[in-house]
Order: sequence, then structure tokens, then C-alpha cells
Amino acid sequence: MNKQNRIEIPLCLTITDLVFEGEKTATFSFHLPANLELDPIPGQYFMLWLPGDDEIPISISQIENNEKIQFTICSKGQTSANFLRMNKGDLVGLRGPYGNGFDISDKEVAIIIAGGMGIAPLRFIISTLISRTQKKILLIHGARTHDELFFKEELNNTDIDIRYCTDDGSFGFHGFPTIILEEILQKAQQKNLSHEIYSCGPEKMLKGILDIVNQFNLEKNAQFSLADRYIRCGFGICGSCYLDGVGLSICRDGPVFRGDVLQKITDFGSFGRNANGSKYPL
Amino acid sequence: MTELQTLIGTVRIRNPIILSSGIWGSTYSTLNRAYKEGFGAVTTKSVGLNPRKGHPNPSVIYIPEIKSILNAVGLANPGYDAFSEELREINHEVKYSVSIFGSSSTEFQQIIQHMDNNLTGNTPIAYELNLSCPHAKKVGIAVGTDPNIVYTIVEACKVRTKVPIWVKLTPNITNIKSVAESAISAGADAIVAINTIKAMMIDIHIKKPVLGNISGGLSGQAIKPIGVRVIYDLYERFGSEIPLVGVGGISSWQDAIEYILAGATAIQIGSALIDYDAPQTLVHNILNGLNEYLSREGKSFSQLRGLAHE
Ligand SMILES: Cc1cc2nc3c(=O)[nH]c(=O)nc-3n(C[C@H](O)[C@H](O)[C@H](O)COP(=O)(O)OP(=O)(O)OC[C@H]3O[C@@H](n4cnc5c(N)ncnc54)[C@H](O)[C@@H]3O)c2cc1C
Ligand SMILES: Cc1cc2nc3c(=O)[nH]c(=O)nc-3n(C[C@H](O)[C@H](O)[C@H](O)COP(=O)(O)O)c2cc1C
Ligand code: FES
Repeated sequence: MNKQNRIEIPLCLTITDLVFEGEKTATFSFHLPANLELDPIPGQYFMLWLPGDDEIPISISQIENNEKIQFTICSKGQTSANFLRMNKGDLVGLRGPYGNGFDISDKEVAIIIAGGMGIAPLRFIISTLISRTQKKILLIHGARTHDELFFKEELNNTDIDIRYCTDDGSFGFHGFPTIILEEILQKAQQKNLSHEIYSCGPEKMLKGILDIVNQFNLEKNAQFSLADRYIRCGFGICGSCYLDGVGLSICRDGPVFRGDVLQKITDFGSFGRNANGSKYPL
Repeated sequence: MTELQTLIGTVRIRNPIILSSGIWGSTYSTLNRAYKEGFGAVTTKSVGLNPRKGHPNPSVIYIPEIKSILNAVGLANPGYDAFSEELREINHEVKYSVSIFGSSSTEFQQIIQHMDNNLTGNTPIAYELNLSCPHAKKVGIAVGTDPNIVYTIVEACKVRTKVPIWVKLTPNITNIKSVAESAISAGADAIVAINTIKAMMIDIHIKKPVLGNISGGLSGQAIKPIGVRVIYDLYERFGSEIPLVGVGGISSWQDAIEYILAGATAIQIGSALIDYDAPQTLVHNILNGLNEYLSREGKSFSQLRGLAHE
């Protein structure tokens, strides 16, 4: 495979569009210079630098014609909150794309499970699967509450099957997406179709999904994008984001891992590490 | 195959290629993995007295044009107490050294004492004193450029432990030889050089420094000629009296040999890992190249040291 083009030194671009998806979440658009030919893969991320503040990893939420790129940011702490205070025309430094990204796979059915902000990178894989494959696509879209089911309208306009669920029961099924997944996999067993599972969301939810796919022996067909982690360099050098067990990095070896690999990661779903390297329970 | 086992003072390692501090080595899993992938020994991220979250990002930027990295991580670490728990998980076959920074000799002593007590059963091959980080206040370079302070720190560490003390020096100084001389006369078991070189980058659109800390340190291919000169100078001055570990910009067997000819006993590698998904290939390529060179030259590895001086 040819080496992918990448912006290594932050490239300052103006925010060409900024749309609020909810009270604490917004989608930022930028125009990449035409000559870069970055060809990002769904699941890859950029480091977004807010000059004077900090730089954070954010998944590519959508890209059109290798040019108009979008990121969806949810306010979680200092820097993400400050991003939401930005305006159209402000400058943001971008470097990327980093990480491995999702594997499209040749399975007949794609089951996509999004928890909260996890919908951002999955939005990009959904549009890619629609445009490049004939797969039957089923999305289980979960959030804490109705207002946090981002991109609902856009996704309703596609012809994929969607099952909604909320923790508080304000929309769709009242409960976690994992319950729906289990139900679907049970039914799927009777049909003779091959499945690929794509998921992103809080690590606790991903752990729940891993436990379920294990029961169905689908761990090798399940891809998980980890996003609850601290990233500093983005290219596997500084050691900040390495997972326990075999010693894989999120920033370079990930952020997407298959279930059989995650099984060997001893802190998966239980501990994160902050900027100084100390562990904290997830 | 030529014998590439290497002796650094009293420390024997299986080959002369060591993972340098601050690359990968923040967790036991990465240290285990790096050793498994072929390094002769591995060095931990530098650890200090208290937890430090380091400088704001961007703190690590790759500059492709010069295959170099600009960093101002700022010695992020969980503090010696938590870190020693981490290091207890290291596999017993792994040869590792613990990199330590501090602002005074008592701080260094306290950390070393704690490590000695906590790591019995799987003792490090060395403590590497980081007297050279260029982007953290009151530590690193702040204590590593004054020969008297260096003497006091090294002497204080030597009286506290039987584990060899390696001293990592900065090239950001006019006379590295006098600092090295202090370290050696205070009992240092090896000199490691070089750490990164003070540097910065400014974004011309927003007209501001890129690094969160404004300035940082440069590593990678751009600094190799500087590292080679430092090792050459140290060997010129001290000869084979003290082991020298050469570091800075090494990414091939040719680079490694250049350092050995300048006077290095062993080498460390950091930034070059960026080109590899797994360091195994890099280490393997260097060891192979080294072996072939030695057989072509009809020399043993130890005979190569300092040959550029003859
Ligand atoms: C590969 C990847 C892709 C991502 N993609 C997206 C995306 O598309 N959109 C998006 O909104 N976010 C995404 N994120 C998450 C985003 O990067 C973080 O939310 C952001 O970095 C937080 O920075 P902050 O300064 O706003 O918050 P911080 O102040 O850093 O805190 C954020 C969160 O970190 C956790 N945390 C850190 N340290 C501790 C501790 N000691 N104890 C307990 N909790 C702790 C907490 O959960 C806290 O809420 C992604 C992360 C990764 C790794
Ligand atoms: C991201 C990064 C972090 C580093 N952290 C440390 C550190 O904690 N302690 C230290 O002594 N050196 C540190 N260094 C310096 C390296 O150990 C090494 O001396 C330097 O990078 C030169 O070698 P290289 O060109 O092979 O990378 C760091 C270097 C980089 C790039
Ligand atoms: S963030 Fe630096 S190694 Fe992953």
C-alpha cells in the first residue's frame, strides 16, 4: 500500500461553517487545499489545535471530494468547550489524518452501533458503505437522551435501517444499544448471512458489545473505535496512549481494533490514563 | 553472526541498541514489547518526584522535511511512587534502565532509594539521570549545565545505590567536556549523549509559536551530526576510560557505525521509530547491517569503538 499523505505540521484553516447539533455539540467544516490528496479512511482522526489553548484528537465526521472536511465536537472539558465558543472565520490548526481507520470488509450485513458522540466517525463509515458497497446496513443509534441523537434527520434520509435507543427512554427503545444488538444477533443466527460490526462510543459500552459478540463468536468480525483516551503525538512515539497487555497504541495501531485484539488488552473498558500517565477508572 | 553482546561498564546487554527515554517507555507493556521486538535494553520515560501532566499540546510535532521531531512534552509522568508500581510489572528478562529527573540531589536520592526498595527482584540495569531536558523549569538542563551541581547530584546518587549511574547530558552548552568530567569524577558509570536541542516553530498564519510551551527540543535525523561530534569530543577527552552511549538521529546501521567510530560503546534510538509500525524491523536492519560491516572489515564489535580517532 502506498503511504497516505498526511499533514504533520498544524495547518491553520478557517472554519467555513459551524452548525450546532445540540446544546453542547457542533459540527465544524473546513476546506482542505485541493493539492493535498489526503484520502482519509473512515475512523481516522485529526489533531485539532485551538491556538492559545490545546490540541485534541477528533474523528473525521465527513469528507466530500477530499476537500470539505467536517468534525463534530462535543464539549467534555476545557478545550472541547472552548472549541464550541469559536465562530465561522476563526482559525484552527489541523494535522492528520492519523490512526488506522475502519476496514470496509466483504461481509453482507453491516451492523453499526453508535453511543453518543460515537456517531461522528460512524457517520463517515455509513456514507462510505452506502456509496461503495451493496451491504445491508443496520444502525443501532443510542444516546443518553433524545437531544443527543445527532444527525437523526440526515440518517433518516438514507435507506438504512435504524433502531434508536435512549438511556432515559425519551426516544426509541428505553435502554442500552447492547440489548438491541443481542436481539439482532440472535435473530441473525437463523439466517445464513455474514455480519461485520462497527462500533464507537464510551469504552464501557464497547466492552459490553465485546462481551456480546464473543458469545456469538463474532469477535473477529467486530471493529471498535476507542475515543475515551488521551492522545498527545498521534504517531506512536510519545507513549501517552499505549494500552496495557500487548503494548498497542491507540493513536497509531488504533483507534480501531478488532474484538480478538481487544481481548488481549487488559485495561480495556476498565482504566484510562490521563496526561501524566496515571490510571483512572473509566 | 558476529558477537554483538555489549558491555557498558559492568552491564552486559544482548546487543548495543537501546530504546531511548521518552519514546514509548511510559508503561510496562511498551517496555516489554520494545524488548521483545529486539532492543538490547530499554529506557523508561523520565520520572520525577510528583505527577506532572506536561505542557499543553501541540507538544510533539514531526517535521517530515528534516525527518525530525520537535517536542515539548515537559516531562509528563505519574510521579515516582505510581511509576515504580508500573515498573514492577515489567517481565523479568527485560533489561531496562530507569530515567530520572529532579531539581536537587536529595530529590534524586529519594527517587532512587524508593526504586531500589520497590524493584528488588527485577532491578534495573542502570539509573539514567536526565540532566538534560531542555523544556522543563528547574530540572533537566537547569541542573545539567553546571559542573558543580552535576558533581553533587551524581555523587549523592552513587552513595545511595549499587545500581550503575548513567548520566545523560545536553548539547545545549558551550563546554560539555567539563560537565562530563564532573560526572565522571563523581563516579558516573557511563555518559549518555545527547538529549534534544533547543528549538521552536512559528506558524506564519496565526503568527504564534506552535508548541504549547513555545519552545522545545529537536530530535531525529537533523541532530545526528551534532550528536556524533559530542561523542567524538568526549572520546577524544576520555578515551576508553568511560563507556559512552551515543544518541541523536540514528535511523540506520550506517548511523550506528558512525557513532561507534566516533567513540560510542552503545547507541540509543528514539525518533526513528516513527517510520516503523513495529521497531522489530528497524532493530533487525541495524543489527544485520552492523554484522555485515563487521565481517567485511574483519573486526569485532568492540574493536570498532573510536576508530575514527586513530
Ligand atoms: C481517536 C479519538 C477520536 C475522538 N473523536 C472525537 C470526536 O469526533 N468528537 C468528540 O467530541 N470527541 C472525540 N474524541 C474525544 C475528545 O478528544 C476529548 O473529548 C477531548 O480531548 C477532551 O479534551 P478537553 O480538554 O475538552 O477535556 P479534558 O479536560 O481533557 O477532559 C475530558 C474527559 O477526560 C476524562 N478524564 C481525563 N482525565 C481524567 C481523570 N483523571 N479522571 C477522570 N476522568 C478523566 C473525563 O472523561 C473528562 O470528561 C476523540 C478521542 C480520540 C482518542
Ligand atoms: C517525544 C520525546 C520525548 C522525550 N522524552 C525524554 C525524556 O523524558 N527523558 C530524556 O532523557 N530524553 C527524552 N527525549 C530525548 C530522547 O531520549 C533522545 O535523547 C533524543 O530524542 C535524541 O535521539 P533521537 O534523535 O534518536 O530521537 C525525548 C524525545 C522525544 C522525541
Ligand atoms: S499519543 Fe503519543 S504514542 Fe500515542
